[in-house]
Amino acid sequence: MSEAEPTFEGIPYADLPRESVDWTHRGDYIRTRSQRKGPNEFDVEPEWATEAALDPDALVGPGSSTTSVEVIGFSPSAPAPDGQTLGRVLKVWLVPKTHPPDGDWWGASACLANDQDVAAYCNKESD
Amino acid sequence: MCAESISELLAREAEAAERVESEHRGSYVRSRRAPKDPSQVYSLRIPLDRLELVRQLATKQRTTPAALLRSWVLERVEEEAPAEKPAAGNALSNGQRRKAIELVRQLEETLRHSAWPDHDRAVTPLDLSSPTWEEMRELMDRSARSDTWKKTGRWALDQLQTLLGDDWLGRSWRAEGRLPGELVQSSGNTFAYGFLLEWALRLRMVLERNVPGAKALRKNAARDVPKSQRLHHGLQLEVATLGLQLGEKIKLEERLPGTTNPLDVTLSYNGDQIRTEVFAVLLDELSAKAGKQDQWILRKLLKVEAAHGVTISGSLRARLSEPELAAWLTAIDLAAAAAVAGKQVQTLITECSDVVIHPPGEAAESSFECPATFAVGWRRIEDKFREKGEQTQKSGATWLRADLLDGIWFASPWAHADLPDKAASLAFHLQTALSSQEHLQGIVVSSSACPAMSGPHRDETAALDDGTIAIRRNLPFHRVRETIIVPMTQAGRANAGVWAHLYEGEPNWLDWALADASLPAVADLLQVTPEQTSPS
Repeated sequence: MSEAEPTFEGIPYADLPRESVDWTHRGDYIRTRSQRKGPNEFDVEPEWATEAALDPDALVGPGSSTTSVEVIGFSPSAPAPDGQTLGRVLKVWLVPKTHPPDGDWWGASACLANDQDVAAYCNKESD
Repeated sequence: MCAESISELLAREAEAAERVESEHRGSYVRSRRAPKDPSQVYSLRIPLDRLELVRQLATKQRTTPAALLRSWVLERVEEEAPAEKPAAGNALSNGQRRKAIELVRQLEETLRHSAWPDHDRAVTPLDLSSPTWEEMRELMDRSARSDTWKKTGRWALDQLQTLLGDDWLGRSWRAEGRLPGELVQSSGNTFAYGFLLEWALRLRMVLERNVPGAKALRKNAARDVPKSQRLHHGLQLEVATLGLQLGEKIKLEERLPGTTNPLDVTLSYNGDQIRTEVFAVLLDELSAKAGKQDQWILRKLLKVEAAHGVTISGSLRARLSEPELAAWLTAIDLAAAAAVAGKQVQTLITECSDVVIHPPGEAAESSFECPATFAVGWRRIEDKFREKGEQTQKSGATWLRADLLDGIWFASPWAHADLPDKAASLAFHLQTALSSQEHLQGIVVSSSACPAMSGPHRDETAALDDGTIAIRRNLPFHRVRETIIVPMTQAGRANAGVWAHLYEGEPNWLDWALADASLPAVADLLQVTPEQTSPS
């Protein structure tokens, strides 16, 4: 017997609709990470976080509470440390605007994905 | 849910996410559902008096105000960036994506190891806060290049340590979270090595030769660590030391009587003083003023349409000064009133505009084109030039010297034009943008010394009828620079040749400066070692 697929508000994570992200409340927060956590921290522009959140090949999973989901996705516009090469894997936390989710999400937070997340994203991608 | 509670909920989520960022609470699954129309929500602040107008127009077009605003923005984006559609978003193949991710990983790895060679000791993250000059020298020693390369590289690092100070590296790291590529990559990267040598040689040269103001510049360079200021000081040094090669008298940071700001560089040539303000336009600089004038014009036209019930179409082909624009808009307003009174189409044709005004009730499309921009981002550059041009009045500068590092020199249709066409287009736009700044004799714009990725370029000099001169020169260490000199006045045309001399002589500058410091020539530095040529 196969294991039941994990769901968020009754929808399997893999089938959660993701159409738009609204950073009205948290845009400044994610773009000023380095001011709170030090210069080594990556400041995430909301546009990059949205690209990652809406990546068609993103990994989706439970968020930091039952009201949010976590998305690991690729942002083609986020810059590498040299400031010129583009493309980073980001981790984004989203809260649905409607219940059950219809595709419109609030952005709560975003940061660079850690090595484990990047490996998960890349490995599964090549499956 | 009210806005405040949404905000609080999102803050709580973010706090919880930060707390357990390194852990994962459940397993991820690959999404099976691709977004159909991926979007990001933007909030727009619309003045109330305009919002009513938007509502009326939306009703007229049988749509909602939000949908109308969205369509306007998207139409404008299409106009501004016709060559860049569609916004690709995530439309990369898995292969491209993996390649990009791998490239970034390699870069991070390179930077990590470049900045903190581990040698025999374990490097803890605490070391990241205090990179040292000694580590830079160790890195240079580990280079696979020749001994001559390493020895000269160490000399440059010693010079910079002496001139900028022992703590400069640490301060630079703490301010920017990274070290300048000229330092980190210079042990093995040819371009970076060239920049490192030039940086050290130029700073040393102005001090050794007692150029007036050199001590003040050294003090500023030692104090300022952000990239924008480093580039500014670098440009001052570049102009000054190219001038020294030609035997010109140079002054740095000179204060003229009756002015409030110091001049960046003054070149004395045949009795003429070429007083210059330098600056770099960076990639990550945002311009809040971009498109301001066009938006203002379109708002005014919309107001005329709403006031008279007319439909306006046409184009404006040149940038007008504020009084000219006001007069032009008054003429349109009068023509609109005439269209209403006579129930006839009115046409307003001037040197720089064609405007057609249809009376109320007549089927016509409302569309208006503002002056063309030759590359995405130009308006931002233009604003910067205008702003700098105004600043020159505080220092008495009569020339602007700028490096455009915002991507326009390699990532715009303009960048791919032939050098004379490129120069003509740039000259036209600069002369138009700065026409009101009569104190300016001219402007010198350059690509900076860029890596010549595809091999050597064709050296070229083009002189245009209006006195504009364009120069392309290959530079040592596999670099190339394009420089465009745009005179604005008769005096500017007389001095344009001095700038041409400076930049035509640049390919020989490094060898001249190396000899001046009793160091090996470029050709000796680039000689490969037997290890480099032997098969692995």
